[in-house]
Amino acid sequence: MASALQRALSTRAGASAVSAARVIVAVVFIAAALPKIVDPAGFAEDIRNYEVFPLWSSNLLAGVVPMLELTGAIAILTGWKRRGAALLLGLLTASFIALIASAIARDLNIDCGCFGQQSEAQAVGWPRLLEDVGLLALIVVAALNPKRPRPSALVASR
Amino acid sequence: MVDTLRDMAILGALACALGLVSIASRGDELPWFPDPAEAFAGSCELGSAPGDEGETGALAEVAGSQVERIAYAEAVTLIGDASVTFVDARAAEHFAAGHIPGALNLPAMNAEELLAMQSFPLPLEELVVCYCEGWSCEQSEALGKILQDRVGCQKVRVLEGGWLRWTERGGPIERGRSDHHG
Repeated sequence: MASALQRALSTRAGASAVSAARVIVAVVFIAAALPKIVDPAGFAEDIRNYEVFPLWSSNLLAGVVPMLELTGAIAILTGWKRRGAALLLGLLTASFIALIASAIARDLNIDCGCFGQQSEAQAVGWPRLLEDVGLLALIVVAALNPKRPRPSALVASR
Repeated sequence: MVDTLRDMAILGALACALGLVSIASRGDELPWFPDPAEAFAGSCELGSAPGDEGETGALAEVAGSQVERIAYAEAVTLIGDASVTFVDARAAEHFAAGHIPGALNLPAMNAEELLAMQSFPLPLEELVVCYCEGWSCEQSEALGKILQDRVGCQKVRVLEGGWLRWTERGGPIERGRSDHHG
């Protein structure tokens, strides 16, 4: 299994898939972070609507969470501490999944706040949950380390 | 694995520092800790948990807010009273999924446009009860102010705890779209 994965990653297609996953993950998190950074008070309101976190923490989370998203996205895109960034974004996304699942379980009809309040409202629900599960899968792919094909292998394949 | 955890901790610490600087730079726009009076200006009684002890059973005015409140216990007795109008300030899809029987749907985010475009049967001298999603949503307060200040409704109230409270307490509901929405 592991060797099959290594073989897949050593192909050009595998390496391209990993690169694409990194770009997609970075773009999604940057797009999610910027509106929240522009309007942190609106994001704090979104956080309070989940009725999970204590009131005192909502503004702190509204300040820190978008920076976690932005820092992770830049790191995964540039390759600086890439695996740490993937773990950070993975944990964030897992938290979002848990939050959305709890909102669904409590039948809350609220804006998910995924892309802040600058964007069109996205109600919490199964589509948002599935999107985040898909994003988590992409983060796992983005964390993989494709090995460059050896020159001899390239020659042999011609 | 240890390296990955260390890298994550470095990135996390950097992001936290940036986040704290971001909050500090916002000043009054984003205080370190929100004022409960402002955070819950939308629909809850100050300092009260969403429990019975927070309800007065009477119309109560929240300090610093412009729209008076009405508790679930009183509001539920008004169902079927033809003189009372319930107005749902949430988006149309949420309204369609379930709302207080007989309520109008007037989403707060485009209420002014909708009021300018079409006629809503809003009584000026009878009781109008606005509600939104829960304890901390702000649409009902915003809509209440519009109905008070722009439309001229004289007896506007915001339902404490909104739709969340209503359903938790087993208030009657109906489903389907409103004839009056955008």
